Amino acid sequence: MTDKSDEELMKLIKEKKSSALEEIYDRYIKLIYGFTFKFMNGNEESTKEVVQLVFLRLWTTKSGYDSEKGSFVNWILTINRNICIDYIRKERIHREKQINMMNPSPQESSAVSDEAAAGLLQDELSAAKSRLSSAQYRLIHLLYWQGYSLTEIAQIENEPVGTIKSRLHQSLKRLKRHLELGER
Amino acid sequence: MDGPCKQLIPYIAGELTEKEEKQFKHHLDQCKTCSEEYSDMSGAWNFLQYDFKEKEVPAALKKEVMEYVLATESERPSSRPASWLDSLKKQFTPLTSGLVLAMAAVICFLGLNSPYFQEFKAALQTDQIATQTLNTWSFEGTDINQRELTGIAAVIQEDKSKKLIVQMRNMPALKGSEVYQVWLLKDGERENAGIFKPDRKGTGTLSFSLKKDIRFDQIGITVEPDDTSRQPRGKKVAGTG
Repeated sequence: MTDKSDEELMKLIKEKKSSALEEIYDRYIKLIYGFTFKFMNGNEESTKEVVQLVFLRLWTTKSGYDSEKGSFVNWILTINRNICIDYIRKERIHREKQINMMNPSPQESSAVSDEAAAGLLQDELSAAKSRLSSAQYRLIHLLYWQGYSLTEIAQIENEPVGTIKSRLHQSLKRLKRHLELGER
Repeated sequence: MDGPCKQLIPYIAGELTEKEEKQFKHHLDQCKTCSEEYSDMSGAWNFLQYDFKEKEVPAALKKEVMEYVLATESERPSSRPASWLDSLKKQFTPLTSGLVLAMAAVICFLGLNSPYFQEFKAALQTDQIATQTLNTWSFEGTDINQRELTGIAAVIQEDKSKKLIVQMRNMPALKGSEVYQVWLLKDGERENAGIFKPDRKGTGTLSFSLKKDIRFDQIGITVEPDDTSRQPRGKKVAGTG
């Protein structure tokens, strides 16, 4: 199996060759584990559950990987992120229901905001290197790593969705510029 | 940004519906401004996925993942259990006698003395907890040469969940990866309600959890080339009403 390309392995996985799935595991588990660990805010139990779901998706996916549509790493991390978002949103709905049951006052958005901000402290260091403003960095973090939608972020930030969209536009352009300049 | 160009940001953030995404991809091919912006921004977006630190992976994880994947896979409804009666008992034991009463009409209609329905009735009588039958149907084969094809369906309410139970007899044998797929029909729209494969005698059972607010008028069964159909691709073999 070690001589096979990622695309060949995915074809073998479709034919239910479990040794091919093991090979993909060996090649990419560090990447998948590290990515998921960050997404799950360092919760090892959730990380394990999500990693299992990622490999289950690889095992059962009907669409498969097409090397013409981009790199394998990009493909696998996109799947990984989608599963993380599904997982985290379900958890969030569950948690918010519990909060509402205990305290039905309309404090929800600021509570989420505080919680998100607390999670950001640790990452504030890495924000410096990315040269984004704190609002831009917060947006990227909430959107990419915390799975909030643009509309939800607009509510958290108490700003119009249009402002959030244009901020994302600016943030990504800025990131791109720094990447090109090799300033990261 | 105006018109379709406004969708660029939600597209990158993965927030468009499947239909909107398709439309926007088409726009992207035509619009130079959007395609340039997209190329810039998606590069940055994809860069974000590497913004994490490597973490030591627990040594036991591989075994757990592989076991989880293979065990979950084997639970998927690819083949039916040896005895339909056993599986029936397992799937909705226990049911109330209310279900038996509601089924009686269907049983009468299809032949009270048939051993199949005697067995079915016996299986339903093992019930203990509050289960309510909301509706029942009988199936007829669509092919005139398949007169012996019969079946019944019931929607039951068990605690807070709703289930569709389908029991079919004398279903024609399937080839290769073919499966029977059940569809719920409402105003010409069809919604998937699960797949099953009959045994060698042509007997098949399906138990499918329904959405809370589901509404439908009829049930149809088609033979599909494999288990991936989102809309019917194959021939209808049985239907209600």
